[in-house]
Amino acid sequence: MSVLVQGTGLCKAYEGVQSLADVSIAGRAGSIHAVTGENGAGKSTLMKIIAGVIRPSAGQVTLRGKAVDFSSPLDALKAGISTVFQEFSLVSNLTVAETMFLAHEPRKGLFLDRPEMERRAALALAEVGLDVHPRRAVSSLTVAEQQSVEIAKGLMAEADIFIFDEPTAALNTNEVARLERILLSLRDQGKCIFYISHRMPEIFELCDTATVLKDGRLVGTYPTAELDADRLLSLMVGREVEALYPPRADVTGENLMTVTGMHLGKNRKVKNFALGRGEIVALAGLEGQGQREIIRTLAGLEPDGSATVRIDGAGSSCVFRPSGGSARSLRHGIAFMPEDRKSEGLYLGLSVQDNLTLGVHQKQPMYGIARGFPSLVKKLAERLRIRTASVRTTVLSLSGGNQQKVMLGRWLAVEASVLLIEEPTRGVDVGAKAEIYNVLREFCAKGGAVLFCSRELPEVIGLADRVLVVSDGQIVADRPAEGLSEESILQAAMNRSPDSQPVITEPV
Amino acid sequence: MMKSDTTLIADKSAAVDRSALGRLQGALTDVPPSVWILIALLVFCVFASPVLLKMPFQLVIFRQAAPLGLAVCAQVLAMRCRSIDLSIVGVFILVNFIACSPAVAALDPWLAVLIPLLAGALIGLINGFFITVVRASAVIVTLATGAILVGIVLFLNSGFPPGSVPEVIKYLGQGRVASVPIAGLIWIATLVVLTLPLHFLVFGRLLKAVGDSPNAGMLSGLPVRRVILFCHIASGLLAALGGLLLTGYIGVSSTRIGADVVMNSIAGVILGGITFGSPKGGLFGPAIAAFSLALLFNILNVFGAGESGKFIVQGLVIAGAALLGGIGTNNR
Amino acid sequence: MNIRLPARTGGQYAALGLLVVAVAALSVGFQDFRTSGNIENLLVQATPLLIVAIGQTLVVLTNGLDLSVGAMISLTTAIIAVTGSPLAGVALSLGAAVVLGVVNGVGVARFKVHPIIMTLATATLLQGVVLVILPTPGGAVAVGLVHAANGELLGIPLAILWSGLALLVGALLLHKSRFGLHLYSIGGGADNAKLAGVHVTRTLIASYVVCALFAALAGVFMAGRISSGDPWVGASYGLDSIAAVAVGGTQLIGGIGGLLGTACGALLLGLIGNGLNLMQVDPFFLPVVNGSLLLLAVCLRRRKELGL
Repeated sequence: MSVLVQGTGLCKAYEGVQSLADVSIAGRAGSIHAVTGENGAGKSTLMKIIAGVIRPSAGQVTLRGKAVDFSSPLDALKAGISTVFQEFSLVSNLTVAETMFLAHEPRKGLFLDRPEMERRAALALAEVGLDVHPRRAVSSLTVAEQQSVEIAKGLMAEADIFIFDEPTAALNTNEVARLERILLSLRDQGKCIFYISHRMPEIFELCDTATVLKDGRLVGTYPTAELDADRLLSLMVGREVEALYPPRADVTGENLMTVTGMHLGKNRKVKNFALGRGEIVALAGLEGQGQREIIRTLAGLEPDGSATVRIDGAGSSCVFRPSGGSARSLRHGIAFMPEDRKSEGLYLGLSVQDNLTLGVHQKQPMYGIARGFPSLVKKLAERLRIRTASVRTTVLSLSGGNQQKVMLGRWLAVEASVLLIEEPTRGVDVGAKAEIYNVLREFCAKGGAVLFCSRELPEVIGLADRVLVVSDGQIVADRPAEGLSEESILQAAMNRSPDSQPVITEPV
Repeated sequence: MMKSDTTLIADKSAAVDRSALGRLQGALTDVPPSVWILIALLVFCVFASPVLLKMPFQLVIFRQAAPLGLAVCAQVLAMRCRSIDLSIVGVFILVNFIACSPAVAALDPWLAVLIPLLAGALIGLINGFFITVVRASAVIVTLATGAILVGIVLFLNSGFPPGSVPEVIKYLGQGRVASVPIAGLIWIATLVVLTLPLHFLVFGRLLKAVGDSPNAGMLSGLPVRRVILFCHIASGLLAALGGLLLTGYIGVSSTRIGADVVMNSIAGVILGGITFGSPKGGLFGPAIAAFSLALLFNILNVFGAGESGKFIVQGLVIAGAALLGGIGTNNR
Repeated sequence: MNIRLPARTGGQYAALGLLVVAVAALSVGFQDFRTSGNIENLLVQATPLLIVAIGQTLVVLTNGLDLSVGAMISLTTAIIAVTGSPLAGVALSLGAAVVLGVVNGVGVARFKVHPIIMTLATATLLQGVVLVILPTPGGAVAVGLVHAANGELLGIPLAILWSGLALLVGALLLHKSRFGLHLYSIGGGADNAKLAGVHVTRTLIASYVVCALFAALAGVFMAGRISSGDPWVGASYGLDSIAAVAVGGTQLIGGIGGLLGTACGALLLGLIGNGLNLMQVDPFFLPVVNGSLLLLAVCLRRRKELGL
């Protein structure tokens, strides 16, 4: 099989963080090539370079032996590389035919040649086995149908190389089967398909080759015939857990927050669970399996989610249903920290002082005098080790770690009892990570509790007292973090049988 | 022991040039454009029309600027929370109509002043309702309410003889205290009163947050919609006060009052250095801008530019400021 | 899933239904409504608004707004009333429209100025220019133009033919050309459109130019209609054209809607004027009704954003 596309020595750095270091990969004609690794291993970054979405900081991409430098995905498409990302590139208010031909529409004289558009679109759709009229609005298609249109677009552009990013994430069993038929047919036509995925069954069923990445580096490229599930897993995980994490707590056993009757929309019922006083609990699993939705439902920010929450405070308890925004949960002492601190958590144009004190100000009446709380600010900055020349600096100019600390500080200032955190240390350097973990432990030692979700399994195991593994909106495992391994978490998360029975595995 | 990463501090201000030149540079970029414009205009007057610099004229300009200054305050509040108020002209006309109506003229002077103000606040409430509850575009809502108000007043006015302005309002618009126009004093007093909540009350902090990131505000449980609603109520109230002062000044009922106040208020805010949602900039820059615009229009009058010159200048000023500053940025 | 309604129709058929209901109501309620003279009158009166609203539709579909169309109409009547030759007058007006459109488009697309601010600024600027050219209503309009606006052909007022022609050109642009498809794509997903290779900046500038050109054509018609120039004649057309577009079922966030709805919207607004006339209500009440209709229209389309 000839090599169609090759990436050699590819590197990519974002703001000083090396997300890809010296990775090489070769795509052959007539091959379905898995690209796999843990969350954050660099799979998307690697494929985005090949797809022309981003440029490498170093290294070279060659197409059929010739060096190429794509300036946009359109560029790459013209060269024959078609990408189907998780966010589709279709325009929702156009018809299928129109979005497939956008910016290169066939014309008859001065006018659009719609009959020709629809004819050619129908042909391409038939090739992928999609029975949809070309005049259907894109917005009326299901996710699976839209995905097929994206593939058809690539076929029409006569692409030789297809890149799929977690294509089965939003598909049901029948749709997955149909996708597999399409992929096999493409392969048999001599195309090269890159398939980013975590899912063991798919990797072994469909792919002939697997490239494993870990922490932005290439672990190796292997024929899948020579691998099995366990070997593949061990290649993906396993690193020295640095002494980042403070010692775990001895959990007292009293429950601080009890969650019952949680539904994540569409009647997806979630098992009841509770947070003990002083406990740090993690929601873990593959990306996008419902961890965020669970946390946001508890914060009252998930319109489709509902739950009943009971908070047992000092001497009193109350029961409420979070909804209509985070104000209600906040009133009951539950504070929420979103993953995207820049656009959802911080007020970037305001000072450190303002950001820290806004939580307190929120709780006061609007006509009250705004105090600067200088001593509170000073105490927080010291406790969190926020490094800044002055508390009047705008948060925008702080480093990621300091920004995260400011966001955390705001909720510590209002004396919340429960912290709901999405990705506690995303984009945070090692030193700040350790400091944040220490602060969270201190918070719990004083009687608080923390529920967080994280893509980084070492963080999950290192920081948490207990781990709830989430898969497809269900809690499939509930294990103490002590002695838990990344393999067992991934195993529990990845083994999803066709009728979605939760599989609980024993920790290794 | 954790290695503390020295790249922790990506703090620009820590690296700022502490030399005198650096600090001067920093201070200069913080000065609102309106200050430079005022200086330029004053310099121009020195050479081209020194008479305008004389105190009596300056006080006249001060009084003329007051209604615009209040409209600018109204617009500042709206734009600070990422909204806009295009209904100010409607409020001006409404206030003029109410003030001149026989029913109001017969009331106690305090009520004659209070009722138009409350009417303005009510319009602000209606705007705020459509913007925060219906979540309609502020542009459309305030354009529509403005047009509706103008239409209602024209409709109610037609066929009736023009009413007269109550004495108390005329006094507010035309009167002086030791040759300083009362309208101007009211304007200054309003600026002072407004500065209090913006700088000292919790509301001001919340407004800063809402303007900076309504998204973060919503996710933090901040009462974003209430803040926007109050801003619009205040905006209506301030517009009403401006309309009242202008009504007092011209002394008659008029359906053409405040025809270009919307345009000028936006110009005043932009020249005052305020952009949609920005926490920077207080009321000083926009106030100077209002005064500068009044001075500019007087200069245009002296040179015989008339209404057309006024419009051309207004249009150029806003377009120029918006294009150059990237202000009025389309956040969609 | 059926394909009963084509993609991106929006509320156009609802607007059509509303129009039918309104016509029925007025026909039943007022004898004077049903006369052919009144119907003709109605269609002729609606012509300038319809022509302007067609151009406005194109801009609104890209999630924009053009408030300078009113001043453009006034400017056109002023230019024609002041220029001797009708050909020169029309040519100058169209040239001015191109300039206006380019300025608006560059400001919005390239400098990212909010359309409301940009077009309000150009509207004011333009109004000032109008007042320089023609401070008070007056001037003379060539007989040819007057006849073209007020005359008849085989018993049908020419105005109706102009409306039809404008609708035809607009429809060809919107539904049969690449430009129109690109407009829809920008409104429906500007980022994906750009990724696909659509020249967003160029298309936006072109949309503002076309809008200004339609406004200028409406102005030519107006000049013929009132056979003079009037510096304020176009004043209400900015808001009215947006109302016509919104009431016609085109969404102000862009991407959804079309000209059928706009035509219905313009006719509906004309009907309201006509109806108020028949009911002998003060014409000043018209903007009140139009504004209220606009408020009602936005109530029906909920957004997620707050503010602007």
